Amino acid sequence: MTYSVTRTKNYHYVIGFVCVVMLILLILLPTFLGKASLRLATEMAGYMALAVMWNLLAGYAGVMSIGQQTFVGIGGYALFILAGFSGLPLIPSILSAGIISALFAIPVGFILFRLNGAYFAIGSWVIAEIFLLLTAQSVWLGAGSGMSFPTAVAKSFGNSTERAALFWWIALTIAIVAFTTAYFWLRSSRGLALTAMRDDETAAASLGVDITRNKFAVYLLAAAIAGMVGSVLFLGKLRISPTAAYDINEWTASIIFIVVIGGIGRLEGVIIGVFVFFTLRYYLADFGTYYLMALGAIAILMMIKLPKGIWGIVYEKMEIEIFPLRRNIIQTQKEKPSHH
Amino acid sequence: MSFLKISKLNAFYGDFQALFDISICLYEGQKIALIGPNGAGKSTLLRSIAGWLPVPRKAVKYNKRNIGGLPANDVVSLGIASVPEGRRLFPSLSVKENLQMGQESGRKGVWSQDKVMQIFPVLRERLYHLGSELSGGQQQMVAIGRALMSNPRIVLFDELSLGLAPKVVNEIAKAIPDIQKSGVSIIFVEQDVRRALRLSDYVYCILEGRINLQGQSKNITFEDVEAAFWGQKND
Amino acid sequence: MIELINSIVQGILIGGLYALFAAGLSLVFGIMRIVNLSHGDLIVLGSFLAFFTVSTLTVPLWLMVVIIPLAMGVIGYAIQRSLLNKTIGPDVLPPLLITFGLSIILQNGLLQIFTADNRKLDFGAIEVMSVEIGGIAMGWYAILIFLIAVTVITGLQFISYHTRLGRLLRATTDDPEIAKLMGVKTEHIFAIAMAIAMIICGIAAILFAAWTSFTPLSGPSRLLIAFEVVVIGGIGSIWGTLVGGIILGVAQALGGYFDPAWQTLAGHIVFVIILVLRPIFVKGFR
Repeated sequence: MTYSVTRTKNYHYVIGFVCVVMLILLILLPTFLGKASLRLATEMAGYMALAVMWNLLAGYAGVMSIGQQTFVGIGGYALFILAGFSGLPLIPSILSAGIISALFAIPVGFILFRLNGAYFAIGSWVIAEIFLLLTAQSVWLGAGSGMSFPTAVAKSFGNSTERAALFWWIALTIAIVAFTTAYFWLRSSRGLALTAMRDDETAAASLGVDITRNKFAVYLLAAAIAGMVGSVLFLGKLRISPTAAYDINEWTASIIFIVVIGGIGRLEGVIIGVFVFFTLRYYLADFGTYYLMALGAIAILMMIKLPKGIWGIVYEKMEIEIFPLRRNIIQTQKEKPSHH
Repeated sequence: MSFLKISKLNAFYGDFQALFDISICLYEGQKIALIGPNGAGKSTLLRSIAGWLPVPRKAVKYNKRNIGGLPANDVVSLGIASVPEGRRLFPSLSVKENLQMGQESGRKGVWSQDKVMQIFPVLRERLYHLGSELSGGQQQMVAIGRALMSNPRIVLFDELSLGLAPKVVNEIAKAIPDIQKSGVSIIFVEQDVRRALRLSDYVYCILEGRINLQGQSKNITFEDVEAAFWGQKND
Repeated sequence: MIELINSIVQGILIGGLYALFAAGLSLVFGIMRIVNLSHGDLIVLGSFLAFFTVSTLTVPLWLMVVIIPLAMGVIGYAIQRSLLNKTIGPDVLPPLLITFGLSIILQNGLLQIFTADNRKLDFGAIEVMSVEIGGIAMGWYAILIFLIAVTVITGLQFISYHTRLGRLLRATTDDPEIAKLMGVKTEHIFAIAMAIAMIICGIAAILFAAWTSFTPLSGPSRLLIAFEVVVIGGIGSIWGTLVGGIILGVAQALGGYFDPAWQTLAGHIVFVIILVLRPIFVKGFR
């Protein structure tokens, strides 16, 4: 008997082709869309990157953070200081924002990883509050009222149309990087370890998987991505303030909603989740409190009725994975009946 | 007439089937021993009766009532108490409180703290110790006492002697006639085949989730059981 | 100097209130392993209910003080039975996300009904009366808060160790599976635990509503206080919550003494320091 292990099925070649076409369309998006739509798309790409990372953290590594706004905020402020006031070019500034966020994540993670499960969650929120309060105390960061991005520097990136296109390409790149890193991470042996963690922590530990180190690595990666997302999204707004930068509703609650709708532990789910979230927001945001209550109620209903999310159902019913992670064992030669 | 009847019971843990078409009859006052190697399904069988596992309603019939899959708290209220595997006393409760937990089923009857003290006098001076501070044998006595406090008609006894010194096991076994006198029938799991045959009226051997030998304990020898186990393996 | 001591005393007294915030969170976590992210919002709900019964329904104060904790208890029981019991299990994610959703619903629901205005309960003269002991002025209301907190915590301790309900709660904490095997309706016990937690929250909600003003968005800060107190005082320890509450209260008072803007921040930072210095929580706590 011979077996071979593969993740891809035949339809994956079709999907690969569709992906390439989609990517080209996405890159050319500024030629089809106006400024306003492009800004919305930029925001979607940023949320997508955050959601992929949150999904990787909660869905695969079992790390429940409700304090990712910490790193979004740090990234945003880092960009304003580096690109806005220190004259560093845009791209290095954004990369640095990611690195700075990850650097902050080291001591933060060191503290938080002492707390388990649900306690990690609230602890991460406390940390975000600390950063919020510290930032609001820092006169050099504009204290409570925050700061505006210098107009002269912004103009050096082009007129408002050119800027919208530039920020879109940056956000798209970040989203693609987040997605592909998550994807290849999960396909690698490290990813297997993560999946093992999700399925059974004790078993993973007994296999010699260093759980904490793996979790920590994912945590740092998520912080870096969050920092870059924060930098590009606040650049688009040209204004940053502590309450906006470290907003739990904006940067964590919405992200959790996206992941829960799409399906925790499913990469594909994030895409569906982002579209559902932005559609709801587009049509219902004017209802203010009712809209937010509806989001809360939908999330609760999903957790009780469809805990695996929309993509979880699709996957179970049709066994489709757009981004194949599951290994399929293929029997390449017929097994002879054996005697018992 | 049997008053507990298991018929064609299949039990699952997720996708894994642990029991296949198990049928068992318990008559009033009878002591049934379940024997078999580790993982054969003995504990699963007791858990299915006690209401830990979702099994079909009709698979377990007790006093002319179908009780399969009822929640565990309802099963004990009907008079089927359990001595769980590993004793599982409440570690932060005293011995007295552990025994009191047995009364939560709300059944009235002859069993009381005093009566438990009569069959296990050694517990008398440990009444206010925490469950976690007792020796294994004493823990087993508390676990039995706790089950009896619910004034059951049937006690499901998972692992009579596991991890206990022979002397302690004999002490516990000595209490069995007293327990029976109060009108209790017993189904117990026992690893030691000779002891199982000695203490029971009827015996079922379970292997890989199936019954492969049963009969009156007095008609079955140690060799029969051994053959039943090994015979299967050599096939 | 005397002002510093005054602040510390104030911090100790208000620590009692923080202990009340935390006691419910700790109780619920101990028994069900659920961390209720809507805990703070439920406290704020209690404050609004208290405000509403007194100011709009013009119910007398003494009656409101009885009604609100009971109403909160009923709400707690209902939430546990209808929502949270469905999610109890080894996975911490579902209860966390459901209570997070609940938190958002509560905040926005309260915003819709009561607007974002600051509210405060008026307890009259007792709020400003004070007594001087050895040169330190202590507000009667702060002393009252502390005494009530100690009474509630003593009562909780008594229920835990000297009543049948307490025995059932501890047994269910130890081993819910075996408790059920003994005939305990664990779903009911879980809901009773949540009801007790919410009764305590109701008491704290009333006391806090007259201590400072509140808005529909005050919940998260209450939750974070409760959480920090539980971690500082030791998870699952009833008296530990009082110790934790006092530590946090004093930390905030000292921070506020040096710079009002540092009040909340000082509390958070003391929490982090204690967390770093206490290796007890490293791994293994589920």
